[in-house]
Amino acid sequence: MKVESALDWARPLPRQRSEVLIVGSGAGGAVMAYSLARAGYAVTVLEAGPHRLSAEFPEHMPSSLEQLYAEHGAQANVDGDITVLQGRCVGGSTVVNATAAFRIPPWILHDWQQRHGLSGFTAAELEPLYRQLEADLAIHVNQPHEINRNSQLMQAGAEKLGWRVAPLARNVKDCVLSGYCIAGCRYDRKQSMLVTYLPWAQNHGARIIADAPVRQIHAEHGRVTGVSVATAAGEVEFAADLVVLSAGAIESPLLLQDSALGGAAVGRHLACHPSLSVLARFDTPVSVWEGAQLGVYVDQFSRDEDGGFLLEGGGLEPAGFAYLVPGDGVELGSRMAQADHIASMVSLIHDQGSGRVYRRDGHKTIEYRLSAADRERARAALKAAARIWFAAGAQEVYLPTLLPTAVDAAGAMAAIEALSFAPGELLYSAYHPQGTCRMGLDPARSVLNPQAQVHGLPNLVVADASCFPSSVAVNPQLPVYVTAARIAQYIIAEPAAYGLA
Amino acid sequence: MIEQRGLSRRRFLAVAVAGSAVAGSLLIGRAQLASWTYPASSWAHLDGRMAAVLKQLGGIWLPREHPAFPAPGPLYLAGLDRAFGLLPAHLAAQVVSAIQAFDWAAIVYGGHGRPFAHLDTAGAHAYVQRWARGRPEQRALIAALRQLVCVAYWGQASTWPATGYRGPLHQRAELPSLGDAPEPVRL
Repeated sequence: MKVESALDWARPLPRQRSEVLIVGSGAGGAVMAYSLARAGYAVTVLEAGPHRLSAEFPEHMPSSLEQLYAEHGAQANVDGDITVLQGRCVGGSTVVNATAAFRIPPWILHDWQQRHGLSGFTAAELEPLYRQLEADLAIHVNQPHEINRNSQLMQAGAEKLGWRVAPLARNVKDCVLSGYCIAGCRYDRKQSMLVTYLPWAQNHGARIIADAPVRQIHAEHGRVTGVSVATAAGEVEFAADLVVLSAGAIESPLLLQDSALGGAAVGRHLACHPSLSVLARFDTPVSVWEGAQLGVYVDQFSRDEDGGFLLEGGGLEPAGFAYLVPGDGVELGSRMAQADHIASMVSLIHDQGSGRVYRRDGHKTIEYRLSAADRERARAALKAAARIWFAAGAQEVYLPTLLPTAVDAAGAMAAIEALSFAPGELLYSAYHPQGTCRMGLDPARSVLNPQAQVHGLPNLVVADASCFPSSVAVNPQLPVYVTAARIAQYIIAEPAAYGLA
Repeated sequence: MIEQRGLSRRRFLAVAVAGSAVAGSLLIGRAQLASWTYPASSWAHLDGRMAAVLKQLGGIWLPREHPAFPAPGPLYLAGLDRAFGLLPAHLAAQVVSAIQAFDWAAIVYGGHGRPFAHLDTAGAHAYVQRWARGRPEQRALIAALRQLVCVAYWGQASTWPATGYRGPLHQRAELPSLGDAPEPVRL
């Protein structure tokens, strides 16, 4: 794939033009680029991040954070207790995700139809799109050799408790089981947008430009006219008939706000699936860093009425989890000397969208605190994770408190019950920001109509996780793909309604 | 990377203000503060105080006396120096203020009578524990610094053999890349 870099522009380019401009090259942008380029439209993709070749991926998480992640892995909420991790490179978060490929749960789709008016997002409408995507991206259910020791233990514990547990589906072809999915797959086995829909879009003439941060979307008389891109050589204007915003659920709302577009709901309703890592020490080797990063999941509790969380088995190299291991000095050393006996599970909270993204003093600001209901979900998730590990034979479980806590089977539930879940007490990660430009019927409570057009601006579309009306309750990779594919269908079916000839 | 370790820019600012207020309210004179000196820094992004504070934290948290692991040496500080170098200027300035406040506040907070970087290991450990039980801003700073210190240390290859981690796969095996996937044929 040939990718231009705006860093190579020695002087500002003259005004550029494309029928379709897509801002962002991740899950939403790439699917839109391929779908629309294949339909015959002239497409240009503008990616703020760099183009990194997979052969350069270092398989070293601290370095990967620096190279591939937004703010070098430094994006966090105001309270500083939730790290918000997103890819910032050509291919976006699809380059650094853990490859989990869940469909949108039917109960979520039902809610979207009933409460938000998304009548076109039925299981029947999405089924052929899912089939295409799953075939295109080699999505398959993990086979036995893809379930590492960590996930085997998780599965054994869950089965002992009588809980539903199953192998995950992943978008990987001939996985080499390197264990570095979230550091980027050096072997191009992960079927990310970097090696699929982006080069395929280019086969149909799409132009892809890296290092090209869009600063503003221009609109006049109820229509969008284009965008401006900041480069070292100066500002470059791109004109377009249709602008598709796919910069992700943090940057897309910020760009709308910077452009004074989208109304009062822009940036609100941020959900992010706050995740707690629960480690456990076993008396036999686990080597959590070896094998497929994600193996199995427990969805016994995924619906609100059952608990509102999902559990997934997965881990990292020692640098990725040492800070979650209890003890100081020699005590920490003793535990880390048994790092290959440590297992890891993440809990993913189906949160209620209580956050907000905006600029304060010119700087990106992510306001997010777990609601009271979400705190109880997190508590229930911690308890369930601890129960699984002990059922599997763990000697001790490490709770992800500020200074991590070791608990044994006898004391675990009481220790978790005693936690206040106040800001800063626990350390969360959030890989799935979503919902900040949500679709809906009411312009006062949504940013987009159910066809993904910004209310009042028919040729400005948002196609990324920000357009979800609520948390999707599962890893959002496949949900973003299918949502973008559905929106592309709308555009191709009625191009004039979107400003295209 | 600092924020990835759990502390937002606003929290850094809050910690800095709080620390300065502590120092100010107890009328610690500038001259008194200036009497505590730090070795000159040889790092690109860490000043002498920051390097001393981070070295002290490494001494508390990391297994410097464990026989299986190396003492946190120059490579550990090099990792931290690199991380700080990635910060945008406005945030870097706030980090410097926050760490300065953390260091100074030990003079009065807990009655140590000297900055954090000048405490003995036991005093430094007690001071950190106190911050970890403190206000949200203090807890956030401790969380951020502990994560940063752990990542910088355990990211070094010299720490891996004792953990059983064998390092990046590409350094151990020749595995071909599949490259771009072929575009599916659509009928």
